[in-house]
Amino acid sequence: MVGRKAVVWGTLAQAAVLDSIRRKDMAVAGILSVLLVAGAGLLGRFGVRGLELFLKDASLTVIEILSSVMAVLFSTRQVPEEIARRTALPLLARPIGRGDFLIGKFLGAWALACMALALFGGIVAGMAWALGVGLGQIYIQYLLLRALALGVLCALGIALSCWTTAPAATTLALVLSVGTGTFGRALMLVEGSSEGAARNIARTAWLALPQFNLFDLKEKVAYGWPPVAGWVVWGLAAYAALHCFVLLALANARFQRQAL
Amino acid sequence: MRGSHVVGFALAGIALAGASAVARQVRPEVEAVPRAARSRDRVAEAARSTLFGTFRTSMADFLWLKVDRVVHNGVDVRAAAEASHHDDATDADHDDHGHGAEETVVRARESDWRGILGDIERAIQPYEPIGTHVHRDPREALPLFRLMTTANPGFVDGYVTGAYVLSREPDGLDRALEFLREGERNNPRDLRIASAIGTMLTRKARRHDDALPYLVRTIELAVARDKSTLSEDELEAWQDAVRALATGRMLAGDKAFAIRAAKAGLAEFPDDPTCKRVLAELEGK
Repeated sequence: MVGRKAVVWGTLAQAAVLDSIRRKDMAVAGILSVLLVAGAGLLGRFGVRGLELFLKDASLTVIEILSSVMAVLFSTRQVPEEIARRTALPLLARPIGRGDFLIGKFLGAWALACMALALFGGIVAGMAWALGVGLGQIYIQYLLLRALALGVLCALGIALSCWTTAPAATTLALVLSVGTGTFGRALMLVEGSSEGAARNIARTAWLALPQFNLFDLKEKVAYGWPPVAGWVVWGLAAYAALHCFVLLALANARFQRQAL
Repeated sequence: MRGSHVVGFALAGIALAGASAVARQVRPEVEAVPRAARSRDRVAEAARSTLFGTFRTSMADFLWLKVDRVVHNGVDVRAAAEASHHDDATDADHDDHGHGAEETVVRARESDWRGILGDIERAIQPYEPIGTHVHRDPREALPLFRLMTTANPGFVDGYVTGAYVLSREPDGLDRALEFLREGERNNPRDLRIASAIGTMLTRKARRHDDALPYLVRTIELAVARDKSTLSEDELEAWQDAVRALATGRMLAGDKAFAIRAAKAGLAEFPDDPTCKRVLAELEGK
């Protein structure tokens, strides 16, 4: 049963990836990568002596933004496009449940986002090597945790696209991916200076929202800290899995009742 | 090609060149640029300047904040919130590292209700308790000062603080003074830079005569302004210049000038201990 499900999910994910490649979506990632390389070339031309820290910080911020944008764009259009092109119904006519459809689409979007992340991550690593800037082993952990964060972001994109229109889902997902760090800190400040109901609301909101900054090792990479302990990575994997499960369940709750 | 064609082309070329020259002469008079178009161009120029100016200011401010992170080895700190319910448990204690009432942005374990999620945040973000965390040498931030003043040449804090950090480098004093002079060229009316040059020449280089014009200029710039409009930094720069002028002239052997400077300084800053000490030494009061 699980094996058959895995085949269905894998096939749907593969179809999403192939469709995206056929539509030359990865070309967008390629163009953005060229911009990254051009930026690195410019920095290299000026010289980076003493600016390694700033260079690492800026490069990782660029990776973070670009990979988030790609993940949101990949995930928020998967379901609405299948419905708009009227290809969802033939797919679901086969022995594929609506929940399987969503999981397959989520896995496809996540795979695409990870491919874009690998591309950007590889370019930054190459650029750092060429400029003689050390990233350290923690960079691998950074990419791994970034991939987990992209998983949550893809699940968020799928969920939002089931409950709203595709453009609204894209906007909301982008705002949440960028804003939860700031919003989370604001909630912590509110929680610290309030009592009673206000404090409980702040705590609940903090726990309910996916906290993307928990996956963000950028500062530690930039300032040359050692890698984090293994339990942290496993803990975050569990946190990401929980959020993905909840978000996909919310998406499924709406998609089950959606007219195709 | 026949000879007549060559002559024809040559004449045409001469005619075109002549017409072009005449057009350049008369163009300003005949060119009709509507007033609306001119003001539109000015507005567009102003918008470009505003956008670019905002970018430069933001970039410099961003780098200024980065300097603080560099010094704290990436640990994000802020002024401790007075109203915080967690004052007893956050890393907000006064310590021996000169932090005063500061606390880490990432909450300390003792005051964190988030359990394992709080532990994860403390592991993921650069975090160490405020009293014990490692400080990096501020000189590591020197390239950021260079970058922020390049991005925004009007960023006086970058010049002044960067110069003091630079002066701690071996053979860094001349580079620090050069950096400040660049700042002075870009901000000729700012008394903080003039004061920084004057006090650095007095206290670090012991070049009292060279310092004199800068210190006098600082005082002139300060006196020319309404004292109530001066910022805390500007008041401090003014007082620094007064002190450096009084002590510098005393050390240079110009007793009369030193006494005048100390008296003038006490008129503005009645409790200034340096001016009192100079007067006590020179007048025996």
